[in-house]
Amino acid sequence: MLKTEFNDEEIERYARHIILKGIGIDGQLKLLNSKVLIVGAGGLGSPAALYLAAAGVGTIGIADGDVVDLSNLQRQIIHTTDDIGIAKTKSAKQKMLAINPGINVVTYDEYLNASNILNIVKEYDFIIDGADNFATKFLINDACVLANKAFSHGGILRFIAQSMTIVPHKSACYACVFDSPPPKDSVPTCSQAGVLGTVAGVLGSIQATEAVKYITGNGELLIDKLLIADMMSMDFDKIKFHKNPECRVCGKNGIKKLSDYEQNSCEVKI
Amino acid sequence: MSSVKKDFRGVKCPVNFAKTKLVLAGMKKGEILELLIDDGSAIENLPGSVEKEGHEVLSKEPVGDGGWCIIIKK
Repeated sequence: MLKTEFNDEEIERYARHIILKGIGIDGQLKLLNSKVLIVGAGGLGSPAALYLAAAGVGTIGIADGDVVDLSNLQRQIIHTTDDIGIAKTKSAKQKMLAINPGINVVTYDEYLNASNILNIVKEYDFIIDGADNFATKFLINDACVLANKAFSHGGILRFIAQSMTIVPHKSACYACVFDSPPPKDSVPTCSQAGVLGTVAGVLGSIQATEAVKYITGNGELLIDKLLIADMMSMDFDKIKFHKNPECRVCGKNGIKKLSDYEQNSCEVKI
Repeated sequence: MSSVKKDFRGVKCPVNFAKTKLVLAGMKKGEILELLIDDGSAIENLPGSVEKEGHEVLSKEPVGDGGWCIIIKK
């Protein structure tokens, strides 16, 4: 049921949004009535989930088939040492509801693939890509293009983060920019790659900000632009792109159905 | 013209402004809101914030027990 007014607890909880020009009464009501899916309860999904729960996004879906591991805790801040061994979705749901018991959290304790992703994505207004592998990132793009759902792409490695927002059939999609997953030997292996925990925190927060802007209809989205942030130099650059009319996914001869991408065995774990 | 009366004494900043904004959102243009608020940060901040939202603060008067009555025209 659509929410059209606040109770006293909500006025106090969301006071700093309600008084904020650019969110205000209408924006907060839109957030309370919105549904956001977060794919991956890892480095990017953690801050995104915490901030969107705090912001009062009415329904948050979280999908991840993994369990919490000690090596995740350096950056996946929604999980704690006590959560080691439990499903990441369960751990994430507990923290989101602890921050905000007024929201609804839906868990998908599974990895997304070509046969299950469309049915999940179609239930949501906005999707956050916090996946840790190229196969899932391209699949999210394809599913969002087919389902016509806006999403935020995010990727991190070492001290560098990148993000762009995709509004299918209006702006460039992930495949307009990158076409297809990189060849196996060009992807850093687990032993070569590390990532600074705070880089995940910054980018996941940027993705949550894009979700809030999309839902409330305010600001300029990161569409047709790829943000590349180098946290060592603190250079934040935006590279312009345009929708590719020949794009193999969203172009005039684009995809009509989903298929899985080949998963590399040892990619960087975000 | 009808007027609305609210007592937001004891309501902290910025919740008092959020509540004021919600009350004003439910009123018609030209209607008057008589608001009781606390001394201190409330009287220092709230009238200016209300004006920045495009409403008119017609008066600010101290009341007996340390609070203030402000009259706002939407």
